[in-house]
Amino acid sequence: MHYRQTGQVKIKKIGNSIALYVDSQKGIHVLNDTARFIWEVLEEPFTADELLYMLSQAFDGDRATMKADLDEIIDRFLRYDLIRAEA
Amino acid sequence: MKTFFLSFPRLPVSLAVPDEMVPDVQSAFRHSIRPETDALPLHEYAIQPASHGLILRNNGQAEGTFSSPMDALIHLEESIEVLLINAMNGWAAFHAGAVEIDGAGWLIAGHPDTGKTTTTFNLIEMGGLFLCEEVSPVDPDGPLIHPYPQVLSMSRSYAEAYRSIHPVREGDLTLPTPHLARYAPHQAGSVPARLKVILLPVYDPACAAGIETVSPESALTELLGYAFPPSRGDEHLFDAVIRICEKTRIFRLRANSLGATRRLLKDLMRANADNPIPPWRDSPGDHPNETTEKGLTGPAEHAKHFSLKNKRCPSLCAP
Repeated sequence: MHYRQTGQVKIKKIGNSIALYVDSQKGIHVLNDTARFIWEVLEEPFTADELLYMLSQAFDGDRATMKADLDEIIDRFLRYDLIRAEA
Repeated sequence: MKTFFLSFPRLPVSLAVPDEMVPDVQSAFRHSIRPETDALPLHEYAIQPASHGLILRNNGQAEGTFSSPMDALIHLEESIEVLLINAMNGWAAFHAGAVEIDGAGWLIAGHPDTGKTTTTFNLIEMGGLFLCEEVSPVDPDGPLIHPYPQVLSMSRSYAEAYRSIHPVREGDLTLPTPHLARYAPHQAGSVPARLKVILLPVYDPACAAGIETVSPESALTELLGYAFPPSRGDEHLFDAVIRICEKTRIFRLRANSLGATRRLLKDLMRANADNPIPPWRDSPGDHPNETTEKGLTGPAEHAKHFSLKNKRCPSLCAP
């Protein structure tokens, strides 16, 4: 399973971070560094394992915690249609 | 009957009341009454005596019947607030009070019962110039706070506790009902003030008192929660609040007592007077809970979400 960005999002810079605006949801999502990293990487399709590897290269931390964070972020991105899953 | 002309941001209004209500209107709208108006009133309010009370009309349409002048006035204030929010167009309207201190506009935003009104009240009594109560219209270009100086309503118990410790010097504090206190500041700003400080008060007797700096990205979704639904586009509101967050310093004020509120506000006023406030610049130590270099010790939430879907007018959420 690969994940990649949907095309429904406008990116807005806020402070040191970014916010994703989705017109159809009348909603905005402010990302922390980890979520922003994953969002930006998903301009191209990647699997969860590939994302976990990239996270481990970019950030220090316990791998189990990283995986839990990644799962939560993917779940949230899917829930709000920020990314889509592709076979 | 006497007719008043009231001037609010983008909203000229006329109000006709029975002679016996003239002193109440002069007190409630003392900073908005104009001797005459160049602009035709967009809304013509009238409070008229009836056999069963007082009828409030807006452009001829009855908005309600009230048993006392105070009830009619409180409903009138709420009705004007709704009109004001709908007249914002490209501005943002926050559920907030506002004051001007040393030429800088301070916005005090929050939901009911967070200490928003009492913080505004304290800042006025400590020398701030009153700008807004309940609704604060902000033009994101600047950003500028436009004065909407209405009477402050707070709990009678708070007002009595305050008065037992400090004299009330900068306004008239009255206790019209067993639960309500009204505070009408003597002075109010009449021109827009540049918004430089946003305070997010939290009152909790069980918490330690203190001031925290809040980054724009951390404050955005919270501030959107205090914004009234936009009369223009949703995206326009998001863009406006982003610009406002980036051009201001934002502080969370955690108070656990009346004395702590005064002390923290004094510290903040002194710090901002000594160090004129630039737009937000990230600096080490400003974000103690956020990610540093490589590391996953970020905020608990990976993505803060805010949606305008099903968002209700904040004033309608008040108990």
